[in-house]
Amino acid sequence: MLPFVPLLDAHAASAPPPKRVVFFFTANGTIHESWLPKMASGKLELSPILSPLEKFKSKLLVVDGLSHKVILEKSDRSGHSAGMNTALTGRNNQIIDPSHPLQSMATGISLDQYLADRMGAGTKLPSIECGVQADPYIKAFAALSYRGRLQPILPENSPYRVFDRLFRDVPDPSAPDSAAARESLADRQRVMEAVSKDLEALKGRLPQSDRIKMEAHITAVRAIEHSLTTGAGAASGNTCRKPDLGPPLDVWKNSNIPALARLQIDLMVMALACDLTRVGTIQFGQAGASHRFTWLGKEFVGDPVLPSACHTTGFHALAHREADPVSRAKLVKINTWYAQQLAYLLEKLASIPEAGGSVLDHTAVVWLNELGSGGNHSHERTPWVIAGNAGGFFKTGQVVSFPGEPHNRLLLTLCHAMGVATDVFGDPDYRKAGPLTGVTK
Amino acid sequence: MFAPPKRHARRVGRPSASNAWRTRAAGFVVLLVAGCGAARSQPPSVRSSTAHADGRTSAVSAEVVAAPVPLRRLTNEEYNNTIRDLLGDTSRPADAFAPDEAIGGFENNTVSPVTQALVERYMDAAEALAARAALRLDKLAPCPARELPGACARNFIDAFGRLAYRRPLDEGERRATLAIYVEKEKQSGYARAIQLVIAAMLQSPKFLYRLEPTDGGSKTRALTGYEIATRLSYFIWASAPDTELLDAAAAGKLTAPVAVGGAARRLLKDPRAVDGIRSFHRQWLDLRELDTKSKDPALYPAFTPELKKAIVEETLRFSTHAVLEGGDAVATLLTSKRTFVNAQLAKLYGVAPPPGDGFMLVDLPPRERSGLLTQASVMAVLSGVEEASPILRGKFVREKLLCETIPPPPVTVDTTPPRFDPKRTKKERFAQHRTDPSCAFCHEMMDPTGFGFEHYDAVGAWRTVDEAFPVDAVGMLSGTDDADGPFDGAVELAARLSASKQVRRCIATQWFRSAVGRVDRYEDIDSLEAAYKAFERAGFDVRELIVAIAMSEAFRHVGFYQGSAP
Repeated sequence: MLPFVPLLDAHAASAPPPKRVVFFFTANGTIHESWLPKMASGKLELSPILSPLEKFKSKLLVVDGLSHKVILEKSDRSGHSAGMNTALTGRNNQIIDPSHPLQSMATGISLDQYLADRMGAGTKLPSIECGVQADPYIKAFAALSYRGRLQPILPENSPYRVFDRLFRDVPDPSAPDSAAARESLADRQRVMEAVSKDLEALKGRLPQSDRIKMEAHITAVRAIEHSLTTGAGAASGNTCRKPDLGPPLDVWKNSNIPALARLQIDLMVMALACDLTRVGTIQFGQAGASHRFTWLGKEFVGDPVLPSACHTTGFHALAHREADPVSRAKLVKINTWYAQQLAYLLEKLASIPEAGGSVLDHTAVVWLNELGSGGNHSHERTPWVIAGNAGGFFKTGQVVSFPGEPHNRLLLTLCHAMGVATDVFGDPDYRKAGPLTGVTK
Repeated sequence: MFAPPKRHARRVGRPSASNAWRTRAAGFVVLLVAGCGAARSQPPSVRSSTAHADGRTSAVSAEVVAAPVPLRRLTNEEYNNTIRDLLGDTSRPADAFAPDEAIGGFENNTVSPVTQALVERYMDAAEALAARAALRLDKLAPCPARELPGACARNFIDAFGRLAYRRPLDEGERRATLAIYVEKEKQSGYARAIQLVIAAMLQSPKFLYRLEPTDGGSKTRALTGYEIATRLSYFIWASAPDTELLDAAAAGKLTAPVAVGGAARRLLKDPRAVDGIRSFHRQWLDLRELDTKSKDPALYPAFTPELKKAIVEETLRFSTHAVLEGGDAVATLLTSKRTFVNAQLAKLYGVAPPPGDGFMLVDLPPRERSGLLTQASVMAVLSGVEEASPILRGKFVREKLLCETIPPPPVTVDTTPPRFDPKRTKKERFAQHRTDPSCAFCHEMMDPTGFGFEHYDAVGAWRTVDEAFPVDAVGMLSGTDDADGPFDGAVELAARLSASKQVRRCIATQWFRSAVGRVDRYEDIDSLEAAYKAFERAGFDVRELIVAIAMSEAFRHVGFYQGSAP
């Protein structure tokens, strides 16, 4: 690790530590009987898939039974892209290309972006979206995050690029204040100012449907302007480091997935530890991910693979065949591997001390999926696991079930967990019942 | 942007104009979709504007009702080409941008706005390009010692700005840009100040978007000469207008249809037209899918990255040649028994390799090959990792050559192809598609067509035996306007398609979609008809189709959304 001294200690000892949220996405549904943990004499007893999280089980809240009701009841399209469209938006989707009916997009802002707008003002980046081979070819499948209606955000699949986004231009007080750096900063500010002016002027000259594009561009430019002058903070004095990414990896080679996952998680952890952002997403593939999990055993080698959203390959093909016992066993193995990656993330967050506890104590890590199960591409019983109790908000160490309730209620709960006391997130028809009950302290 | 599909117009959205345009085919699509499940389609509405039924266009636009065209952001290819033409820089910086968004099969970036990450990439690219440009200012922005740097800068800003924004700068823009220069010049001198001006202009929305402002209007308007210049150059060159085109716009010579047609003809004679024609075919034929597609190396050891590159190059050269040599390009594209091969490809096609490393036009075995449809690139795109896909191939014919829309299968269906079974032929294995009533209707459209390609494996090599059975490539085309009937193999199928008016109209529609950056709509019916008639009159010379599209009302006007837009 390279030493890296933060510019300022963002939160002095007296102030309460900031809350943070990380969305951890994996695709193609789960195998419920191997996923759902039990309660035994008041204690959580983990399932095979969740077993790698044993060490953290007192910090887990497992939520069963929720469904994408808005898709089931309102959408023209169900399936992977619909799940992706609604998972974090709680909204219906819309087909955007009459010649390509699989291309749909969400009709509202996603929870991570909604929270970023409310939690990210002081940090360098309002949010960061990382991918591990999330094929960007069709945005309908690739985008989990949305800035608003039909405004997808693709995850960044290159850890090198994530590194650059996080750490570039971060003023480093240990380095001499170079004149060249100051000049290039001033140049950028000058250009961003000019670009903003152009966008503002054009906005009024375009039809309503195109103004939104100017507005999105303005928002992006403002965020860049802000990031140019915002340095790193720190959860605690000496944990903020620029991670060493090691020799460069091919970002699209199937067998590099485990190494890429490590890098993206390491970067996410440092993004939080250095207080460069407070909202993050990590996407393992896109909806319908077709990776081939060859590192989990020889039996995966024969799975066909295509790194595109194609119907006949790898993980996705296995999910379709979940009724077949061999495929089912493989799907359990895949999901267990994902739980190991989650455990690695939790381990890292727990190792950063903060306010008498660790960063994990002030964070909610939310594991979600675009489907309930892969075999029938169901939008019912979507599997949710929350880790960390978001500063004492959640009642963890339990599994709760809300059969048939809209997942919108969980999205609202997460708003409250982050200190955003709203009851108007997501589709208006599915938020009336408010946040989930029995999940908070 | 097109109108949003109505809630119950499931899966296919609203029928595109090409379907309405071919009235019989439109009925067919509705029927097809109804048969595929719960989908319904809307009947075409009657066009309310005054029609120009003879297909002629008029310079006066009072009666024209054009479809709205959503704001387009430069595609990555357009960005790269534009930078090449503006700065002479061939570093292709946009290859690092997020992939383009395609609507109607063609990249146009009309739906999703930019994200912060993309704007950061625009910033990085602009800074790097400007830094490189600053090393060559003697060419780009020369300023001999006898001249005042301020005067040089003014000249540069006017000249470069006109090319970058594709129209002259107005007084306010000139002042604002000069202010950037002046402040920087004081600090760091001429070269650095020009560098900053370049970086700023390349990040301006006036460079990044193809702007056709409406200024609060609510009626169809004719485009200005500069806007037409921009539409023309990106349509035909996939790049920015050159000085000559901008001069024509300045002189008011780019509004009358005849003048627009004349300009289109000039552009087609320029070497840059090759970029536009290649770009069209790359997108129409989904060749970009090969960027991420791989084949099982155990089954297809010859499918190296070099071969992958070669098969794409073959198709792009072949298509460009078919268009630029003139004559009936549809017949050439679909039935030519010749193609461009290099040594590697020659092996795949079983012909003698050309001398040297390059590509050469050669004759192919005439009973095995026939135009685009049997080329390795198309066959490889329409295959899985291990197996050729009769379904994808049939779907391709229906969608890309007949302009029909086949809805995706119900999501709960396992679309993994039936597994290899030594006792059953592929046709037998796929037979469930056609016995299961929930699958049959759509697959009846795709499978019997797609099985005609069985002689080509997953990388497009010819085979006579597959899975230990002799290849059975007997197929049947049904449900078309004028191409129905049995055939044995893709060579016969291609001949059938080449003779079809529906196919020829569809190719015209595909070019139209690429020209206007959206799916065709009701308002386009006259423009499409005029373009098709001109295409037919010219003996199906695609260049004349391109000229006719450029002259059409739809190309020269921009409309407005009535009511709420998507």
